[in-house]
Amino acid sequence: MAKHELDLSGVPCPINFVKTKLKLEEIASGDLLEVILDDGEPIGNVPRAVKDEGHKVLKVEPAGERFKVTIERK
Amino acid sequence: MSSEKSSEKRIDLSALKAGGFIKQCQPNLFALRLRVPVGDITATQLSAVAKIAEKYGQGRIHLTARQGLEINDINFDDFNDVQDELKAAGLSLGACGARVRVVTGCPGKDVCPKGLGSTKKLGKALDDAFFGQGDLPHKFKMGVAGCPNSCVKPQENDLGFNGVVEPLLDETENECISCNLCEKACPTGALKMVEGRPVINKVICDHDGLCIKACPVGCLVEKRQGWNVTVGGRFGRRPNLGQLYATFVKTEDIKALTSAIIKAYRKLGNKGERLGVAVERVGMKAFKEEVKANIG
Repeated sequence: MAKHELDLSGVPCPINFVKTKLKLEEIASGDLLEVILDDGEPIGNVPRAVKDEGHKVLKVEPAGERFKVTIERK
Repeated sequence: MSSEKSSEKRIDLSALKAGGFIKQCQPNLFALRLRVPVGDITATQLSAVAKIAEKYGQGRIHLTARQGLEINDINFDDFNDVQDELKAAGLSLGACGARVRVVTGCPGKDVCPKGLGSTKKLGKALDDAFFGQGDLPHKFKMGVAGCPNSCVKPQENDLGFNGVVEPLLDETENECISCNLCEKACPTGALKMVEGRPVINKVICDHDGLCIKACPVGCLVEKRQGWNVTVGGRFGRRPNLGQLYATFVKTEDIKALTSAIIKAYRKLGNKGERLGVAVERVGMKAFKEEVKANIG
Protein backbone atom coordinates (compact mmCIF):
# COMPACT_ATOMS: atom_id res chain seq x y z
CA MET A 1 0.00 0.00 0.00
CA ALA A 2 1.76 3.08 -1.27
CA LYS A 3 1.20 6.58 0.00
CA HIS A 4 0.96 9.52 -2.40
CA GLU A 5 0.84 13.25 -1.84
CA LEU A 6 -0.82 16.12 -3.63
CA ASP A 7 -0.41 19.74 -2.57
CA LEU A 8 -3.38 21.81 -3.70
CA SER A 9 -2.50 24.95 -1.75
CA GLY A 10 -4.02 27.94 -3.49
CA VAL A 11 -5.85 25.79 -6.06
CA PRO A 12 -9.51 26.86 -6.30
CA CYS A 13 -12.71 24.84 -6.83
CA PRO A 14 -13.40 22.90 -8.92
CA ILE A 15 -9.85 22.54 -10.30
CA ASN A 16 -8.70 21.11 -6.96
CA PHE A 17 -11.29 18.35 -7.22
CA VAL A 18 -10.41 17.60 -10.84
CA LYS A 19 -6.70 17.33 -9.92
CA THR A 20 -7.57 15.04 -6.99
CA LYS A 21 -9.69 12.88 -9.26
CA LEU A 22 -6.93 12.60 -11.89
CA LYS A 23 -4.34 11.72 -9.22
CA LEU A 24 -6.63 9.05 -7.77
CA GLU A 25 -6.98 7.55 -11.26
CA GLU A 26 -3.16 7.24 -11.47
CA ILE A 27 -2.68 5.33 -8.23
CA ALA A 28 -3.55 1.73 -7.36
CA SER A 29 -6.69 0.56 -5.59
CA GLY A 30 -6.17 0.64 -1.81
CA ASP A 31 -3.37 3.21 -2.04
CA LEU A 32 -3.53 6.29 0.15
CA LEU A 33 -3.50 9.87 -1.12
CA GLU A 34 -2.79 12.80 1.17
CA VAL A 35 -4.19 16.03 -0.24
CA ILE A 36 -3.49 19.49 1.11
CA LEU A 37 -6.54 21.73 0.70
CA ASP A 38 -7.25 25.39 1.46
CA ASP A 39 -9.74 26.37 4.13
CA GLY A 40 -13.14 27.61 2.94
CA GLU A 41 -14.73 26.19 -0.19
CA PRO A 42 -11.96 23.68 -1.02
CA ILE A 43 -12.15 21.84 2.33
CA GLY A 44 -15.94 22.14 2.23
CA ASN A 45 -16.32 20.65 -1.23
CA VAL A 46 -13.49 18.26 -2.10
CA PRO A 47 -13.82 15.59 0.66
CA ARG A 48 -17.53 15.20 -0.03
CA ALA A 49 -17.01 15.03 -3.80
CA VAL A 50 -14.29 12.39 -3.31
CA LYS A 51 -16.71 10.32 -1.23
CA ASP A 52 -19.38 10.70 -3.92
CA GLU A 53 -16.92 9.15 -6.38
CA GLY A 54 -16.75 6.06 -4.17
CA HIS A 55 -13.40 6.62 -2.43
CA LYS A 56 -12.97 6.53 1.33
CA VAL A 57 -12.02 9.60 3.32
CA LEU A 58 -10.01 8.32 6.29
CA LYS A 59 -8.87 11.47 8.00
CA VAL A 60 -9.16 15.25 7.91
CA GLU A 61 -6.60 17.14 10.01
CA PRO A 62 -5.40 20.71 10.26
CA ALA A 63 -2.10 21.46 8.50
CA GLY A 64 -1.18 25.01 9.46
CA GLU A 65 -3.80 27.26 7.88
CA ARG A 66 -4.82 24.44 5.57
CA PHE A 67 -6.09 20.88 5.88
CA LYS A 68 -4.63 17.48 5.12
CA VAL A 69 -7.17 14.95 3.86
CA THR A 70 -6.23 11.27 3.69
CA ILE A 71 -8.10 9.34 1.01
CA GLU A 72 -8.10 5.61 0.31
CA ARG A 73 -8.53 4.91 -3.40
CA LYS A 74 -11.43 2.59 -4.18
CA MET B 1 -75.68 37.52 -37.31
CA SER B 2 -73.17 36.42 -39.88
CA SER B 3 -70.52 38.68 -38.43
CA GLU B 4 -71.13 37.19 -34.94
CA LYS B 5 -70.75 33.72 -36.33
CA SER B 6 -67.57 34.55 -38.11
CA SER B 7 -66.07 36.12 -34.99
CA GLU B 8 -66.89 32.94 -33.05
CA LYS B 9 -65.17 30.94 -35.71
CA ARG B 10 -62.22 33.25 -35.69
CA ILE B 11 -61.39 32.63 -32.04
CA ASP B 12 -61.79 29.50 -29.96
CA LEU B 13 -62.76 31.25 -26.74
CA SER B 14 -62.93 28.08 -24.64
CA ALA B 15 -59.23 27.53 -25.21
CA LEU B 16 -58.58 30.99 -23.81
CA LYS B 17 -60.51 30.43 -20.59
CA ALA B 18 -57.54 30.70 -18.25
CA GLY B 19 -56.28 33.81 -19.97
CA GLY B 20 -52.66 33.91 -21.06
CA PHE B 21 -53.20 36.52 -23.75
CA ILE B 22 -52.44 40.06 -22.77
CA LYS B 23 -53.41 43.12 -24.76
CA GLN B 24 -50.48 45.18 -25.93
CA CYS B 25 -50.64 48.93 -26.38
CA GLN B 26 -50.70 48.48 -30.18
CA PRO B 27 -54.13 47.80 -31.76
CA ASN B 28 -54.97 44.12 -32.44
CA LEU B 29 -51.69 42.88 -30.96
CA PHE B 30 -51.41 40.62 -27.96
CA ALA B 31 -48.62 39.07 -25.92
CA LEU B 32 -49.14 35.34 -25.49
CA ARG B 33 -48.04 34.12 -22.09
CA LEU B 34 -46.87 30.52 -22.12
CA ARG B 35 -47.24 27.98 -19.35
CA VAL B 36 -43.70 26.98 -18.34
CA PRO B 37 -44.04 25.18 -14.99
CA VAL B 38 -40.92 25.34 -12.79
CA GLY B 39 -39.26 27.26 -15.62
CA ASP B 40 -38.45 24.05 -17.47
CA ILE B 41 -38.74 23.92 -21.23
CA THR B 42 -37.11 21.60 -23.75
CA ALA B 43 -34.82 22.79 -26.53
CA THR B 44 -37.37 21.51 -29.08
CA GLN B 45 -40.14 23.53 -27.43
CA LEU B 46 -37.95 26.60 -27.23
CA SER B 47 -37.23 26.29 -30.91
CA ALA B 48 -40.99 25.97 -31.64
CA VAL B 49 -41.56 29.17 -29.63
CA ALA B 50 -38.87 30.93 -31.67
CA LYS B 51 -40.49 29.79 -34.92
CA ILE B 52 -43.93 31.03 -33.80
CA ALA B 53 -42.46 34.39 -32.79
CA GLU B 54 -40.86 34.73 -36.23
CA LYS B 55 -43.89 33.51 -38.18
CA TYR B 56 -46.75 35.25 -36.37
CA GLY B 57 -45.03 37.96 -34.35
CA GLN B 58 -42.05 40.19 -34.96
CA GLY B 59 -39.47 37.83 -33.50
CA ARG B 60 -39.83 39.30 -30.03
CA ILE B 61 -39.99 37.09 -26.92
CA HIS B 62 -40.12 38.38 -23.37
CA LEU B 63 -38.79 36.47 -20.34
CA THR B 64 -41.19 37.10 -17.46
CA ALA B 65 -40.36 37.53 -13.79
CA ARG B 66 -42.05 34.17 -13.06
CA GLN B 67 -39.90 32.03 -15.35
CA GLY B 68 -42.39 32.27 -18.19
CA LEU B 69 -42.16 33.27 -21.82
CA GLU B 70 -44.36 35.76 -23.61
CA ILE B 71 -44.47 35.87 -27.40
CA ASN B 72 -45.08 39.47 -28.38
CA ASP B 73 -47.00 41.05 -31.24
CA ILE B 74 -49.47 38.25 -32.01
CA ASN B 75 -52.43 39.37 -34.07
CA PHE B 76 -55.89 38.56 -32.75
CA ASP B 77 -56.71 36.80 -36.06
CA ASP B 78 -53.84 34.34 -35.66
CA PHE B 79 -54.87 33.05 -32.20
CA ASN B 80 -56.21 29.71 -33.43
CA ASP B 81 -53.22 28.95 -35.64
CA VAL B 82 -50.75 29.93 -32.94
CA GLN B 83 -52.55 27.79 -30.40
CA ASP B 84 -52.46 24.81 -32.77
CA GLU B 85 -48.72 25.21 -33.25
CA LEU B 86 -48.15 25.58 -29.52
CA LYS B 87 -50.20 22.47 -28.87
CA ALA B 88 -48.18 20.51 -31.42
CA ALA B 89 -45.03 21.45 -29.46
CA GLY B 90 -46.63 20.32 -26.18
CA LEU B 91 -47.06 23.91 -25.00
CA SER B 92 -50.06 25.85 -23.80
CA LEU B 93 -50.97 29.28 -22.52
CA GLY B 94 -50.32 30.52 -19.00
CA ALA B 95 -52.89 32.16 -16.74
CA CYS B 96 -53.91 35.73 -16.00
CA GLY B 97 -56.37 37.29 -13.57
CA ALA B 98 -57.82 35.75 -10.42
CA ARG B 99 -56.55 32.26 -11.08
CA VAL B 100 -53.91 29.83 -9.89
CA ARG B 101 -50.79 30.85 -11.80
CA VAL B 102 -47.97 28.77 -13.20
CA VAL B 103 -45.83 27.30 -10.39
CA THR B 104 -42.26 28.57 -10.20
CA GLY B 105 -39.31 26.53 -8.97
CA CYS B 106 -35.54 26.48 -8.63
CA PRO B 107 -33.62 23.55 -10.20
CA GLY B 108 -33.85 21.64 -6.89
CA LYS B 109 -32.14 18.40 -5.97
CA ASP B 110 -32.34 16.94 -9.48
CA VAL B 111 -29.73 19.50 -10.57
CA CYS B 112 -28.41 21.61 -7.69
CA PRO B 113 -25.86 20.15 -5.22
CA LYS B 114 -27.55 22.06 -2.40
CA GLY B 115 -31.05 20.80 -3.27
CA LEU B 116 -32.92 18.75 -0.68
CA GLY B 117 -36.28 18.24 -2.40
CA SER B 118 -37.33 17.62 -6.00
CA THR B 119 -38.80 20.96 -7.07
CA LYS B 120 -39.38 19.56 -10.55
CA LYS B 121 -41.60 16.75 -9.26
CA LEU B 122 -43.46 18.80 -6.65
CA GLY B 123 -43.76 21.92 -8.81
CA LYS B 124 -45.11 20.01 -11.80
CA ALA B 125 -47.50 17.98 -9.61
CA LEU B 126 -48.87 21.22 -8.13
CA ASP B 127 -49.12 22.80 -11.57
CA ASP B 128 -50.95 19.75 -12.94
CA ALA B 129 -53.37 19.75 -10.04
CA PHE B 130 -54.15 23.44 -9.58
CA PHE B 131 -53.03 25.55 -12.55
CA GLY B 132 -55.78 27.77 -13.98
CA GLN B 133 -58.30 27.18 -11.18
CA GLY B 134 -60.52 30.22 -10.91
CA ASP B 135 -63.38 31.48 -8.77
CA LEU B 136 -60.81 33.01 -6.42
CA PRO B 137 -60.75 36.42 -4.67
CA HIS B 138 -57.52 37.33 -6.51
CA LYS B 139 -54.52 35.72 -8.19
CA PHE B 140 -52.84 32.77 -6.46
CA LYS B 141 -49.15 32.06 -6.87
CA MET B 142 -47.00 29.17 -5.74
CA GLY B 143 -43.24 28.74 -5.70
CA VAL B 144 -41.08 25.76 -4.81
CA ALA B 145 -37.48 26.00 -3.57
CA GLY B 146 -35.31 22.94 -3.08
CA CYS B 147 -33.67 24.18 0.13
CA PRO B 148 -33.83 27.01 2.69
CA ASN B 149 -31.63 29.24 0.48
CA SER B 150 -34.86 30.28 -1.29
CA CYS B 151 -33.21 31.23 -4.59
CA VAL B 152 -36.63 31.21 -6.32
CA LYS B 153 -38.11 33.34 -3.52
CA PRO B 154 -41.01 31.07 -2.48
CA GLN B 155 -41.93 33.46 0.35
CA GLU B 156 -43.08 36.00 -2.27
CA ASN B 157 -45.84 33.60 -3.23
CA ASP B 158 -49.29 33.08 -1.76
CA LEU B 159 -48.05 29.59 -1.04
CA GLY B 160 -44.36 28.81 -0.84
CA PHE B 161 -42.38 25.63 -0.25
CA ASN B 162 -38.79 25.09 0.90
CA GLY B 163 -37.20 21.65 0.91
CA VAL B 164 -35.81 20.74 4.35
CA VAL B 165 -34.09 17.77 5.99
CA GLU B 166 -33.40 16.81 9.57
CA PRO B 167 -29.87 15.52 10.12
CA LEU B 168 -29.08 12.49 12.27
CA LEU B 169 -25.78 10.92 13.33
CA ASP B 170 -25.96 7.26 12.36
CA GLU B 171 -22.73 5.30 12.74
CA THR B 172 -24.15 1.84 12.07
CA GLU B 173 -22.56 1.71 8.60
CA ASN B 174 -19.99 4.50 8.61
CA GLU B 175 -18.08 5.62 11.64
CA CYS B 176 -17.54 9.33 12.33
CA ILE B 177 -13.87 10.30 11.83
CA SER B 178 -14.23 13.51 13.91
CA CYS B 179 -13.13 15.61 10.95
CA ASN B 180 -15.20 18.67 12.05
CA LEU B 181 -16.29 19.38 8.46
CA CYS B 182 -19.97 19.26 9.46
CA GLU B 183 -19.36 21.90 12.13
CA LYS B 184 -17.51 24.05 9.58
CA ALA B 185 -20.38 23.66 7.10
CA CYS B 186 -23.14 24.62 9.53
CA PRO B 187 -24.09 28.27 8.90
CA THR B 188 -26.23 28.71 12.02
CA GLY B 189 -23.93 27.27 14.66
CA ALA B 190 -26.56 24.64 15.46
CA LEU B 191 -24.03 21.84 15.04
CA LYS B 192 -21.13 21.65 17.49
CA MET B 193 -18.56 18.93 17.94
CA VAL B 194 -18.73 17.50 21.44
CA GLU B 195 -16.13 14.87 22.35
CA GLY B 196 -15.44 14.26 18.68
CA ARG B 197 -19.06 13.79 17.62
CA PRO B 198 -21.59 16.22 16.09
CA VAL B 199 -24.35 17.40 18.41
CA ILE B 200 -27.20 19.34 16.85
CA ASN B 201 -29.24 22.05 18.55
CA LYS B 202 -32.66 21.40 17.03
CA VAL B 203 -34.00 24.84 17.97
CA ILE B 204 -31.60 26.81 15.79
CA CYS B 205 -31.04 24.21 13.04
CA ASP B 206 -32.21 25.58 9.64
CA HIS B 207 -32.58 22.05 8.24
CA ASP B 208 -30.49 23.00 5.21
CA GLY B 209 -28.71 19.63 5.15
CA LEU B 210 -25.30 21.27 4.68
CA CYS B 211 -23.78 19.11 7.44
CA ILE B 212 -25.02 15.95 5.72
CA LYS B 213 -23.61 17.14 2.41
CA ALA B 214 -20.27 18.08 4.00
CA CYS B 215 -19.80 14.73 5.76
CA PRO B 216 -17.06 12.86 3.89
CA VAL B 217 -17.89 9.44 5.37
CA GLY B 218 -21.69 9.41 5.30
CA CYS B 219 -22.38 9.06 9.02
CA LEU B 220 -24.68 12.09 8.99
CA VAL B 221 -27.90 11.01 7.33
CA GLU B 222 -31.37 12.37 6.60
CA LYS B 223 -33.69 11.45 9.44
CA ARG B 224 -36.62 12.94 7.52
CA GLN B 225 -37.21 15.08 4.46
CA GLY B 226 -40.13 17.41 3.83
CA TRP B 227 -41.23 20.91 2.94
CA ASN B 228 -41.62 24.03 5.04
CA VAL B 229 -44.72 25.88 3.90
CA THR B 230 -45.20 29.65 3.94
CA VAL B 231 -48.54 31.35 3.29
CA GLY B 232 -49.64 34.83 2.35
CA GLY B 233 -46.61 36.13 0.50
CA ARG B 234 -47.07 38.76 -2.19
CA PHE B 235 -45.12 41.36 -4.09
CA GLY B 236 -46.73 44.27 -5.92
CA ARG B 237 -47.23 47.65 -4.30
CA ARG B 238 -47.22 46.48 -0.73
CA PRO B 239 -44.83 43.56 -0.58
CA ASN B 240 -45.02 41.14 2.30
CA LEU B 241 -43.28 37.84 2.84
CA GLY B 242 -45.28 34.72 3.57
CA GLN B 243 -45.48 33.45 7.14
CA LEU B 244 -44.31 30.00 8.13
CA TYR B 245 -47.43 27.85 8.20
CA ALA B 246 -46.16 24.30 8.64
CA THR B 247 -42.84 22.47 8.81
CA PHE B 248 -41.72 19.13 7.37
CA VAL B 249 -44.88 18.49 5.39
CA LYS B 250 -44.37 15.26 3.45
CA THR B 251 -44.38 15.42 -0.34
CA GLU B 252 -47.40 13.12 -0.50
CA ASP B 253 -49.42 15.46 1.77
CA ILE B 254 -48.71 18.69 -0.13
CA LYS B 255 -51.55 18.40 -2.63
CA ALA B 256 -54.19 17.89 0.07
CA LEU B 257 -52.83 20.84 2.07
CA THR B 258 -52.72 23.07 -1.03
CA SER B 259 -56.27 22.13 -1.96
CA ALA B 260 -57.47 22.90 1.59
CA ILE B 261 -55.65 26.27 1.61
CA ILE B 262 -57.15 27.27 -1.75
CA LYS B 263 -60.63 26.29 -0.50
CA ALA B 264 -60.14 28.32 2.68
CA TYR B 265 -58.96 31.31 0.61
CA ARG B 266 -62.01 31.00 -1.63
CA LYS B 267 -64.28 31.02 1.41
CA LEU B 268 -62.60 33.64 3.62
CA GLY B 269 -61.09 36.01 1.09
CA ASN B 270 -62.95 39.13 -0.03
CA LYS B 271 -62.97 39.95 -3.72
CA GLY B 272 -59.68 41.55 -4.73
CA GLU B 273 -57.89 40.39 -1.59
CA ARG B 274 -54.67 38.38 -1.82
CA LEU B 275 -54.35 35.45 0.55
CA GLY B 276 -51.94 37.30 2.85
CA VAL B 277 -54.36 40.20 3.27
CA ALA B 278 -57.23 37.81 3.98
CA VAL B 279 -55.14 35.97 6.59
CA GLU B 280 -54.19 39.28 8.23
CA ARG B 281 -57.85 40.27 8.40
CA VAL B 282 -59.31 37.01 9.76
CA GLY B 283 -56.26 36.05 11.79
CA MET B 284 -53.91 33.10 11.29
CA LYS B 285 -55.75 31.03 13.91
CA ALA B 286 -59.13 31.29 12.16
CA PHE B 287 -57.49 30.64 8.79
CA LYS B 288 -55.75 27.52 10.09
CA GLU B 289 -59.02 26.23 11.52
CA GLU B 290 -60.72 26.68 8.17
CA VAL B 291 -57.88 24.86 6.41
CA LYS B 292 -58.04 22.01 8.93
CA ALA B 293 -61.81 21.70 8.41
CA ASN B 294 -61.16 21.37 4.67
CA ILE B 295 -58.60 18.62 5.14
CA GLY B 296 -61.19 16.71 7.18
